[in-house]
Amino acid sequence: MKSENTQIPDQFNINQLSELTGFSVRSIRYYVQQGLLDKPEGIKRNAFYQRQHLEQLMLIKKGQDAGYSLERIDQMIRHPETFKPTPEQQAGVLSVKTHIQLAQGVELVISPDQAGILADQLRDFAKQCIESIQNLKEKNHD
Amino acid sequence: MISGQPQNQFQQHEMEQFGLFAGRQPIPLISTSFTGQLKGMMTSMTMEMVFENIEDESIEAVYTFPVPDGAIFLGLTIEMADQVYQTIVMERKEATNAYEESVTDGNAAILVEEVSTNLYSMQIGNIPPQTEVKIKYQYSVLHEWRDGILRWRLPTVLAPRYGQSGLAPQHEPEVDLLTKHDFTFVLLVEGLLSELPCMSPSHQIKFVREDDALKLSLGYEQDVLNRDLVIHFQQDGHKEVDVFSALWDQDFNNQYCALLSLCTPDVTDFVSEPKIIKILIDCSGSMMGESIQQARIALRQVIQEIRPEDKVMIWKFGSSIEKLQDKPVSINQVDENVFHRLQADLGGTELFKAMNSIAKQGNTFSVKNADIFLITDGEVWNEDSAYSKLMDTLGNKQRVFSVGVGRAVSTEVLNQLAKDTGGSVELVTPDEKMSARITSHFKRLYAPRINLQNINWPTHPDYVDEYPAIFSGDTAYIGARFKQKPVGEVTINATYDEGRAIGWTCGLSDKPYDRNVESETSVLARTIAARQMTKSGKDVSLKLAIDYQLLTEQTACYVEVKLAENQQSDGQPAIRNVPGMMASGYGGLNEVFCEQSFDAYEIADKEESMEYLDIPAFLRSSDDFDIETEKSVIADDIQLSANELSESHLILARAEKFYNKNNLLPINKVELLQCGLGEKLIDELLLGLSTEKEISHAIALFLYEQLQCSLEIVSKNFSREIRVRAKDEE
Repeated sequence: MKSENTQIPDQFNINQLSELTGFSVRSIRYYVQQGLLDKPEGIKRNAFYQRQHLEQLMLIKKGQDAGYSLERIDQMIRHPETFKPTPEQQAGVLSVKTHIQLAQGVELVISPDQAGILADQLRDFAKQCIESIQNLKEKNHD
Repeated sequence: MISGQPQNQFQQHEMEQFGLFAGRQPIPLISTSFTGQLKGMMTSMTMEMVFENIEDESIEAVYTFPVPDGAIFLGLTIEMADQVYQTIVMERKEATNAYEESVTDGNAAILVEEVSTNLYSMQIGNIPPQTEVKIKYQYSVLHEWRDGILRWRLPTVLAPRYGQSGLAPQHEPEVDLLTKHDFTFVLLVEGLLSELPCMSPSHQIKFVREDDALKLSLGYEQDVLNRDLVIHFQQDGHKEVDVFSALWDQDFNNQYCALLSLCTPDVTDFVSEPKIIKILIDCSGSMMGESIQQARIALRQVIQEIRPEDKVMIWKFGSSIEKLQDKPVSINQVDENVFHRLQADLGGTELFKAMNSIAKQGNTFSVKNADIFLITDGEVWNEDSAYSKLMDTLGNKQRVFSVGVGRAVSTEVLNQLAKDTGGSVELVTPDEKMSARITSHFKRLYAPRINLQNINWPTHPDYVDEYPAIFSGDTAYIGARFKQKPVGEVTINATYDEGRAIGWTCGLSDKPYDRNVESETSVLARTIAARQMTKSGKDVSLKLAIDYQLLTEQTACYVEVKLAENQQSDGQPAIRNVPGMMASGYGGLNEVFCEQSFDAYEIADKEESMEYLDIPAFLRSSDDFDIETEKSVIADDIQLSANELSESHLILARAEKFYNKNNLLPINKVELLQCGLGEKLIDELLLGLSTEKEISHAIALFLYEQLQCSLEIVSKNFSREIRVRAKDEE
C-alpha cells in the first residue's frame, strides 16, 4: 500500500488545493491577498501551488480550530519563534495595566512591557495626549 | 479628483486626514449617491458607487453595505471605460466559480452576494491601475403606514455587532474610525405622499416642490455615511389615505399578478385582559451615550403606558442579566429611581441568553398573558442555534415588542423576533419623539390583531400569500398571481382576535400598475415572488430567484468585463477592503456631545425637559453649539445664526400661542416681536421687504422652515395654516 504522501502530487492548481484542504477557492485567494499564504508560482490559470502552500493551509486550519483570529494566525505563521499561544484566562489571574487619566472621561490604558514603551517615552506620549485634548477643547471654545 | 499615488509623506498624511486611506492602503470607494423615486407606497432607489484604483497594480475592491428592510433587488450595472455591463443573477455557487475564473484569467468582474439579512457584499476583481468603475445598484422597497406615520428609512452604515457573524473573512464588515465617506441624496416624491407633511429627524433636508412632485435632497451639498437617513410622512386628516387598495401588472408567460395594500383603522373600544409585561433593557457597552439615554426615556414612557391592572418585571442585560424589579408588581410599586440604574456598563450583548432567561420567569403567576418589551440597539449577530433555542423557550405564548434605539440600529434580529412571535418593532433615532412611538407601540400591545379570513378575488388566483395578522393602524400587503387579468372587485373578510368581524372592498381598475423603473420583469411581480420565496422550499425559492432575477442567500449576481491583454492582471489582484465609517453615536461616540444634545435631561424631575428632547438636536439650546450657520431648508435667502436657531423652538411655541389666541399667524414686525423674535433677527428677516404681502410671505416661509424641523411639537391646525400660507404666498 502506498503511503499518503505519495498520493499527493508535488504541484496543484487552486481547484485541486481547494479539494485537498476543504478551503474554498475564494478563501485560498483571500489568504494569499492577506499574506497568510505565499503567492503561487506562475500567473493566471498557470498559477500552481506546492507542498509548502499545503502545509501553510494546514497551519491556518489548525489556528482556526484553536479559535485564533487571522491576525494571530498570521503571527503564528510569520513569526513562529516569538508566537505564544494565548493562555486560557484562568480565574484569579491578575492582569495589571497602567491607567493614565488624560482628561475628564479620557483614559489611556497601557501595558508598557507589551507595548515596548519606556517610562520616559510613556511620559512624553501622555503629555502629548493631554496637550492635544486641551488644544481640542480650546479650539471648540473659540 | 485624486490621481496617482501620494508623492510624499505629507501628501499621504493629507489623504489620510480626508479618510481616503485605511491604514496605509488607499480606499477605492470615492463617492456614493442615492437617487430615488417614491410613488404610491413604493420607492425605487439607485445607489451609485464610484470606485477608483489610484494604485499602480490591479486591485480587488470589497465592500459590504446595508440595504433597507425588505428591499427587492432590481438590477446592477458596472460601467468601465464608458461601457455599461448588466449583471445576471445565477445560482450562488455558479456565480462564485465564474467570478473566480474571471479574476484568475486577469479580467475584471463583479460579484454581489447577500451575506446576511439586508446586508450585501460586493467584490470587484481586477480593477486595472488608474481606472474608474461606476456601479449602479437598483432596488425597490414597499413602505407601511404605522399609526399615522410612514417612516422612510435608508440605512447607510453598519455599527459593529456583538457575537460571531459567521461571515467569510472577506465579507466581514470593517469599521474604521478615521474613514469618511461622503454621499448625496435626492428623492422625488409623487402622488399623495408629496402633499402630506414630512420631516427628517436624522438629516437636514431641503424640500422643493417641482410641479406635482416634492423633491427631497440634503440640506448641505453632501453628508457622510454614518447614520440612518430617516424621513417621516404624517397623515393629517385632510388628505385621506386609502384603507384598502389594489394594484395589478403583467407577470411572466402572459400571467398576471396583484398586490393588495390594507391600512387598517384604529380600534379604540377594546380592553385587553391584564398582562404581565417583562421589560428587558440593553445595557451593553454599545448602548453608551445617546442610546442608553433613549432607553431611559423609553422606560419612563413605558411605565406611564402600563395600566394599573397589569404586572411588570424589569431586567437589564449585557454580558450578564440583572433584575431591576424581580417580582411581578403593579406599576405603582416600581421603584421610582429605576431609571437611574440604567448605565451602559454591562459589557457584551448576550441578547439571546437574556431573552431565554426572562422568557422562563414569572410564568407561574396568575396572569396568563405575558409579553416581552425589549429596548436595545440590536447590535448583535443573529446566531441560528441561539435563536432556535429562544423560539423554543418563548413557545407561542410570549410576544416580543422591541424598541430599536440609536442612529444606526440593526433591525435583523428585532424584525425576526417580531415576525416569529407576533410582536412588533418601533425604531426611534435620538431626535425622534420617543413618547409618541412608545404610545403607539403600547396601542399594539393592548389592541386585538386583525386576522384575515378570506379574500374574494375577481378571478381565481394560482397563488396567494399567507394571510398576515395585522395590528390596527398598521399596513399589510398581500400578493397573488393569476392566469387571467384580475379586473373587478376584491373583498377581504377578517376578524379581530376576540371574534368581531370586519371587511373591506375595493376595485382593481383595468389599468396596470404604472411602473417606476423600466425593466423587463414587473417590479410588482418581483415583489410578490420575493414574498413567496420566504414561505417556499429551497428548490422553489431558487427557481423563483433565478426566474425573477432576485438576489437571495441562494443566488448571486455576476458579470465579467473582458480587458485588453495589457490591462489584465496576473490573476492575483491586491485586496482593498472598503471600511465603513464608525456609526454616529456608537458606544458614546456622538457627533454632538451627549450633554449638549440632552442637556435638559433629568429623569422624573421636569416634564418640560422631556418635551425639550423632542426637538431636533441642532435646534436645542447649547452654549457650545458647534454648527456655525444653519442654512434655511426652504428659502435660501434666509440665513440664521446658530444662537438664533437654538431659540427657534421657543419661537415656534410662541407663534403657536399667538395663533391659538388670534386664530391668525403673525404677519408683521410687531406680531413677530410678540412671538419672541429678537429685533435683530426680525430686521434681517424683513430686510429690503416693504409691502405687506412680501413681509407676510417672508414670515410664512420662516415659520415653515421651523416647522420642517419640529413638526411633532405643534398642533395640526397650526402646522396646516403655516403650510397653506407658505404655499399660497409662493
